[in-house]
Amino acid sequence: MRIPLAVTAAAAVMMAMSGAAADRAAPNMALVPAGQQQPFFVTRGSTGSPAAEADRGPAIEVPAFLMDRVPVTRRHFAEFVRARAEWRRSQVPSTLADSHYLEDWASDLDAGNSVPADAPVTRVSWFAASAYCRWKGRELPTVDQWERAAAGAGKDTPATREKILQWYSRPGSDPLRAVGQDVPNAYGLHDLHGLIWEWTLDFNSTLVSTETRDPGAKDDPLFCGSGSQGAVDPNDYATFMRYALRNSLRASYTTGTLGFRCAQDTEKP
Amino acid sequence: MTWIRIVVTLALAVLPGSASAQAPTSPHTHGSAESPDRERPAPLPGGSIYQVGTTWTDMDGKPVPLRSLRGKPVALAMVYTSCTTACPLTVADLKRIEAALSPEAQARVSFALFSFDSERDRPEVLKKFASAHGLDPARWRLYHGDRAAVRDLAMALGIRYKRDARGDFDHSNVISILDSQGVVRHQQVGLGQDPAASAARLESLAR
Repeated sequence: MRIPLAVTAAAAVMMAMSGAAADRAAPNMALVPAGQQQPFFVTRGSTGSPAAEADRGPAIEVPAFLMDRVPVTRRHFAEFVRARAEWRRSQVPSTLADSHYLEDWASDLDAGNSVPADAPVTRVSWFAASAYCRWKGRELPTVDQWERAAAGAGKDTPATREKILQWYSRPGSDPLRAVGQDVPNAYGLHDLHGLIWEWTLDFNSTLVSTETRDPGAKDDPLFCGSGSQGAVDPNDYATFMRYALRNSLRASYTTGTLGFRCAQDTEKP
Repeated sequence: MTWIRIVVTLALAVLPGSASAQAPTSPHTHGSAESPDRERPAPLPGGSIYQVGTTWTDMDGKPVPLRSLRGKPVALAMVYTSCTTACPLTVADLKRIEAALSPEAQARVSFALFSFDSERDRPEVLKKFASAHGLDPARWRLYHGDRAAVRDLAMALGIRYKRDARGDFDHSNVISILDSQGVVRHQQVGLGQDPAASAARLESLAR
């Protein structure tokens, strides 16, 4: 029980530090230390055999990075559209955001009060999320960064998986609450699970072909070279759900349960 | 985003004004780099992939705003030149589409290859690749971009890709047929497909 205790202790420290004041302090980001991230999908070997436990491939080294403690809120996104007219609901071209972009807002500049202003902004496309982060001098987190950050929440314990899956199984019709009200994870990050799904910089990097279901098949016409990938840990259904969602997205899509937060390298290039 | 605006302004300045919604006030400056701001082409359609506003470098080392492809129908694919499997086949597929066009249509369309490989596919590498594959430089353009440009364009086209540890790319094999405004009118998915549908679409767009 060493790890849960450590998590709890860290969470207690974070709780003590956070609260409204610390949360609004610039840069309002938490450090995720360098570490390894086991890729959820691995590319198959030349034999085409399904990925075996012994054949997991190398873990990915994820350098330390900073991540927003909470998802970007409606309040903050309103500042962005005020500053960047091209990202207002009435202005954005359909290539960059579908017709449901910010459709739950009262107007171009006013998020309205159907949900709290400190609720996460949703109904934003990848292009809009990416533009917001660049406006802040940041980037969307990569899939590896996001999963590494989420691992700090003890993603791998069955109890956590169960909790996440319970949330995933809800239809997403509950009104969104304000961010930052849950117990933060070991890195001080809130709301990675249980509130919204989040865009990642390279969500389009998952190339799962039909070969995943049919290991004998070859030459899937959509992918180059060794493109087909197999899941490392079929029991991690929660992670599988996130990859499946990413696999179904297009960069212009917007939904009421998909928002984002930003990340930043610790060393600026 | 300021740079995007600059790029857009530049693109508008160098583009031949396809458009006539606003009558140009000084026709003799039409299309020249010195065109005043007031002479603007019609707004780009919202569904144009040129809305992503990236800037690329062509195989001659010249900076090319994506929007400057506006004006001609384009057959477009994303490849990388050190790819020995799918990418030569993609180029072969594009050449089959080219061969299926009438000479009139051939003269009115472009073929564009955008590289996934920001590190290795420098303009001189692209130039070599073009000549090794016998790509007519009057019609074929190859482009190098930074990682952000590659990502934005792939996102707009719905192309999935992943760079592996060796620096190679797994990627969707998609040929997109764009109209003269950059709206995707047809996509050919997979390698070695019949070129007829793509060629027919391109032929009709070139009319």
